[in-house]
Amino acid sequence: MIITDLYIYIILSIAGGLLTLLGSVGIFISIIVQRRLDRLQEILEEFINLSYRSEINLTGHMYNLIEKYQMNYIFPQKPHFLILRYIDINIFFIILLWTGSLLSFFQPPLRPFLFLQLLPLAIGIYASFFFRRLLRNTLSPGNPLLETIIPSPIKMRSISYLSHYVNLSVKSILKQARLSLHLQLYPEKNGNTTVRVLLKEELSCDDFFYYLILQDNKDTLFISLGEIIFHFSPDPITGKPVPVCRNLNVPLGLFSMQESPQDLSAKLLIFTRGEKHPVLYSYLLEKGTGFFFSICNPDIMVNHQILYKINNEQIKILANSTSIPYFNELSSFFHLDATRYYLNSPASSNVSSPLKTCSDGVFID
Amino acid sequence: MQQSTKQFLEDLKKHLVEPLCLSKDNTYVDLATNQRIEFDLLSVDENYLPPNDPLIQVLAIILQTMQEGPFEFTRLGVNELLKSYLRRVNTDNEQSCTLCYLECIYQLSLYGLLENYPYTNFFWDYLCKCFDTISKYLIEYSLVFACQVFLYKVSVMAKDAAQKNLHTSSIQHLLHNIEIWARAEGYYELADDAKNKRFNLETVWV
Repeated sequence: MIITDLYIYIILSIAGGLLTLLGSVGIFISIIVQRRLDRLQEILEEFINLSYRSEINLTGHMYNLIEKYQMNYIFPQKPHFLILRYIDINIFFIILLWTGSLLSFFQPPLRPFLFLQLLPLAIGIYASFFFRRLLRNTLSPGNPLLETIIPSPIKMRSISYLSHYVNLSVKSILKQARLSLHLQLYPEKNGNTTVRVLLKEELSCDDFFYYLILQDNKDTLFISLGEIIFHFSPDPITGKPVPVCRNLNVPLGLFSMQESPQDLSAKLLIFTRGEKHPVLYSYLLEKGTGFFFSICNPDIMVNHQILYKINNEQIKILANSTSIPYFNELSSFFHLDATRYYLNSPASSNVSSPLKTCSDGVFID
Repeated sequence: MQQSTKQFLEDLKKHLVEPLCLSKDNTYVDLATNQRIEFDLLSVDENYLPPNDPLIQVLAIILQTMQEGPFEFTRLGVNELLKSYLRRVNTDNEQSCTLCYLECIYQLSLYGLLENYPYTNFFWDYLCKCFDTISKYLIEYSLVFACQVFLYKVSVMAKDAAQKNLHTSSIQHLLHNIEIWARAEGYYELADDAKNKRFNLETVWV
């Protein structure tokens, strides 16, 4: 039998003890987060340093760095749940002890003054839940609170993010992504050939707008434009997240060709959010067995003749002194809406007619 | 090395016209290939010499040009070596012939990847271009088994090159080319092999 007068002090000191423990869990979590932040910053810096060495082949290295970043980014599931459960039980007991001790002093009748007396309890409960939310967010970084400090691994493949927030050459990152064009030929019975245009990416960089034009001498055969954004769902079997892929193929559309020339030329413009001049790729496509492929490395340069600005998810061309066909006519369709459009016979059809949407999904091959 | 291009090429061709030693039925005992050895065999072996392989001489000459320069001679040497391969390869010897020639090229490429070899980039680019042409030739003449050996050896070289940060996109392209051709012709095993090699070219990183 404990003396009743003292019991309430014991209960309150236990509640105080529990609160101290909760505070130390907070410190423990912050130490873990600090360590993780250091590691992630190091990897990000290494990644950025790599991009300055654009002449050599670093694709494999970059891929590994993004995977490494992903590994350090996620906190393992099991301790995560354990810590959260500990916090939950702790807060539950604290609130129980507080309300219990208040109730033990309660004497009827009920008066309005009671609500004022209960106000500190309400504030205490609110503060504990807020603290819980804060700790939960710190443990799992995919939330707006930490997004700015620790970018998610998906941002490492986003050209717009890299060029916008980190001062980095878009050209050198794209060089490592090794964008190339691949045209698959499917002969038809009536003598025509259906051509499927694929953009191949060695390293899956996304979050940019493109404008592609395919030409046979001076005849424009095909135009494609749109925004490229990937959504890789976690691996269905292992459940591992996929921050970046290799050997990715992005279907850009279909067109049909009457006779098959020996070589084709293509121009690809890349617009990103952090820049004002697009990057221009010039390809020379040669015919192979059942396909056209850019054999030699494309000529990549920043095109200073085009000036653009992105406003409300729409690309506004401020100046254009190039002679890229249909560029000015189509510039009103330059929306960043994560869709790829194409125009399969620009010469015969009316350019202002609605563009076709390419809904084929990206695939690895 | 003070000699003219003509002299150099004559020297190379002299060795390259000699017949290859492709047959394995020689009596010279190699401890690495013979699993079980009897004493009698060893005593008989004293009188035998290993078969004369003309490619060893060629390899020695090209390696010397790599050490002493100029690069032009190395390039000519590799070119002559690979041309003689294309002249010799046929459906009877495709596997063994491809293997012994590419073994030479592999050794040269290993030397070319050394830190102190100044023309690593040139040499690798040149090899890539040659490989591209060879792959097209092998496809044209439907030398499937040669293709198999070829892509195996080339992917080993490309893997080493990728570790040294050299570009391997042309190798990936030729692997893709072989894959498409093999799938169209019905050689599914070769196609899968090429695809697998292409996917794993740059993944291993030390």
